[in-house]
Amino acid sequence: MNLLVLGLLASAAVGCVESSMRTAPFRVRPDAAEPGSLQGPFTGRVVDATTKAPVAGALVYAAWTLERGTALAEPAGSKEFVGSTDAAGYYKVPALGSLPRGVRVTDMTLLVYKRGFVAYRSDRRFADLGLRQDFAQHGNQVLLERWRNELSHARHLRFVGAGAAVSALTSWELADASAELDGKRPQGEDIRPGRGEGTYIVAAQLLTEADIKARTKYDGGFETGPLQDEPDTASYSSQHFKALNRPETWDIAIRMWKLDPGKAQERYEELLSQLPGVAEKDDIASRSFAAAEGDIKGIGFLDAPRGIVILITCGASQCTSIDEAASLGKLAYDRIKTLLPMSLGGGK
Amino acid sequence: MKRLIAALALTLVPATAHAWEPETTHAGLAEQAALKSRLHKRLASLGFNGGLFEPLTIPPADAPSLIKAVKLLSPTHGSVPDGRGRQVALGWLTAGAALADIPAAYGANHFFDPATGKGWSAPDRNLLTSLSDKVREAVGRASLPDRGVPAVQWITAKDNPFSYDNFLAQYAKAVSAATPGERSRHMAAALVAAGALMHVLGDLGAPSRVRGDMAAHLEPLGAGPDDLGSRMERIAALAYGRLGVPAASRTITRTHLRDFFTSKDGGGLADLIARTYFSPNTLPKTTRSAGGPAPLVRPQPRLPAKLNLMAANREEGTVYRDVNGTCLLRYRLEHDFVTFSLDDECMLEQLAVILPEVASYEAGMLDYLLRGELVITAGDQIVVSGKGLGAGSVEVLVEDDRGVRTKVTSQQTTGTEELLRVAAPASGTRIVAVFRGIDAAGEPVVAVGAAPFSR
Repeated sequence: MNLLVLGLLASAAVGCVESSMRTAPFRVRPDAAEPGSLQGPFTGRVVDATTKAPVAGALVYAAWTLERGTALAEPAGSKEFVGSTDAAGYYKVPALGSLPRGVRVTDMTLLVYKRGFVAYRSDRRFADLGLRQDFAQHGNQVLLERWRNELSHARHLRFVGAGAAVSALTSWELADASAELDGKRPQGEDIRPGRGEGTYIVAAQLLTEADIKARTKYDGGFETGPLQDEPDTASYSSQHFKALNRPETWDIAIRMWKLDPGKAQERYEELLSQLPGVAEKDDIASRSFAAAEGDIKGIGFLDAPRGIVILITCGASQCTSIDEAASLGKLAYDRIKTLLPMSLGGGK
Repeated sequence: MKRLIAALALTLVPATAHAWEPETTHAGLAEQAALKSRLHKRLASLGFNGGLFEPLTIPPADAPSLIKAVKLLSPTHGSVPDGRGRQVALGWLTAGAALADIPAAYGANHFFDPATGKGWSAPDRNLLTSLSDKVREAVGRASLPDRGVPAVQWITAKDNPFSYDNFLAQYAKAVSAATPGERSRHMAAALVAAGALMHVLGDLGAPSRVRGDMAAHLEPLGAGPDDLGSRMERIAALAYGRLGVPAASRTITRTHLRDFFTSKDGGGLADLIARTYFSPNTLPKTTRSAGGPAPLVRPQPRLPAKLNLMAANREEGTVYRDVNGTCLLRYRLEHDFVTFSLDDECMLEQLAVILPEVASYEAGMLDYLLRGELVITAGDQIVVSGKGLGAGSVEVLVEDDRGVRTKVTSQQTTGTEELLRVAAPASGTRIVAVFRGIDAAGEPVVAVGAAPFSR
């Protein structure tokens, strides 16, 4: 195995000497000798390690680490992608777009997380924190181990790392992690698959850059991350698609509130009363509206059974019609239904 | 495993001359040191109940340049706050461990040769002429600083934003500031400074940094002409990443901050590493097999009186190990000459020993930063005492049920164990005290304490 990887890496190095992209420390496919590409795209499938059943709605988070400078170099930021597995457990991470001049990609880490399971990293194993050698760019198989109560939340939080989307999903582990360091084993709630893990989603899982481009025909790039106006919490999350080198009228944002059904209804009513130019449509989920003010178009909807309220705002250059914004709203609703099937307690 | 790592180092790596890699090895060392240290308990005792996993916030508007720098790190390495500047205490500490290399020129202040007292110096003419044309051109393009501040001075330098003084200032405010939000911000800033200080110490675990071996940081590592760096440090990142960095084997204790770096008794990390390991360009010089002992560039580590020339005559040569069995170098006999080298597998063996030791020093230094502890007895009177403290001032505050702290009193102290006695305030939920001054060894210290209170 090691010799195979060695040969793969040695042959790869020759071709990328002048590249701003480091040679990937993983294969292009599980059965191939050639190295993959840090740039991506990446594809794979996530299954339950015990039952081999597909794991739908798992967070798929990819981060590319960037660096600049010669000899005395320094970190130069990162690029990230947030998505989810589909109903059959498949994921696709699009290729990294263009980079600023003088910046190189030094690594890419893929993280898969679903509550009730041990997270998966493309670079390290959870059990012994050793090097993972079976990750592949395409056709990767992720076996998610079920969480066991004897496992350490402190170790798990270190394992998953930081970042807004991941932190929002794993914040429930903080108290248990702290208790462990105090020498107390957490009592812990039952978090077996199907017992509530499905209710944990974040806004970043509901729309992707590719979704937007497919509907608005935008040909530029986005910088993504949470909005700065309100922090992500267990009940609120956001994702801002900031158009690169374009005015704000090309930006899109999605906000998601996940509340008790009664509170969700109240939140929806607040949006109705606070937003300008609101017209109730009720063509998405339980209730929906369109709104407009100046160069911004908005779509909001309430998914009453799941206690979810969504607000999508789209600049006039990106969404030239309210229908384009509405199509993004419908897509977000479809994704909610996939990620939180009612049969798995999505409404709880 | 070893072969894989060695091959990775050969083929993959656009390297850098900064230290152990900031986002992987340094972050991992800081995590391991924190887990070994008293930090978790100290945080909890001060009202940061979650300890290492307590979320702390630095609002971006309050520290735009710091937040901008933190955003240059990759979230998967564990130290990027969310949009409002919030992440757990452990994340702030590891962020500091990575930020010590931003801007890149600060990396030049992470060298210290105990034999000469010097830090980084740019490659001189002799060194440049020994380099290949490509490397020389890359060095020319890089505009490397001529000199660096020796690491042992950098930690207290006025122009170091993460100096010991800055740590103390933030740490004191993390206890004495009025509101929970302010205290959270100051504690996060203190942890960033602590992480950066640990980074500077940790760098001295790399043999080339403590043996004046700048050339070891100019090794072409295969991903382009400008891709120069320390092979050993890159191997560390590949082998261990952040998560695989070994745990601290113990906690080193020292009386003076400087002693963690270097001390007269040779107990500093720089002293230990410099005398225990060779670096790529401070190996014994090539010598004739019949010409007596190989000339050493430095007195230590020593070579055995007799080398195993029969084993050295094999194609791959043989390795020389220290008393603990760790590879120190490889040597080969060829045409009556004995040559010495450090190969990747040898470095990997050394890293398995060095990294836990570095984590132990970092854990010790973190405990040293937090060493000041006050005991508060709260009854009708508040009595504050502390051991091992010298002259300074002590401030007592009371916290109300909203978490707001207000000053009760403050006074100068002269080094007695009982620092202050004052009538208890009319109401409150917690008493806290902060001492700012020097310890019994004359070192600057901030000592803190807290006790529940009800009236």
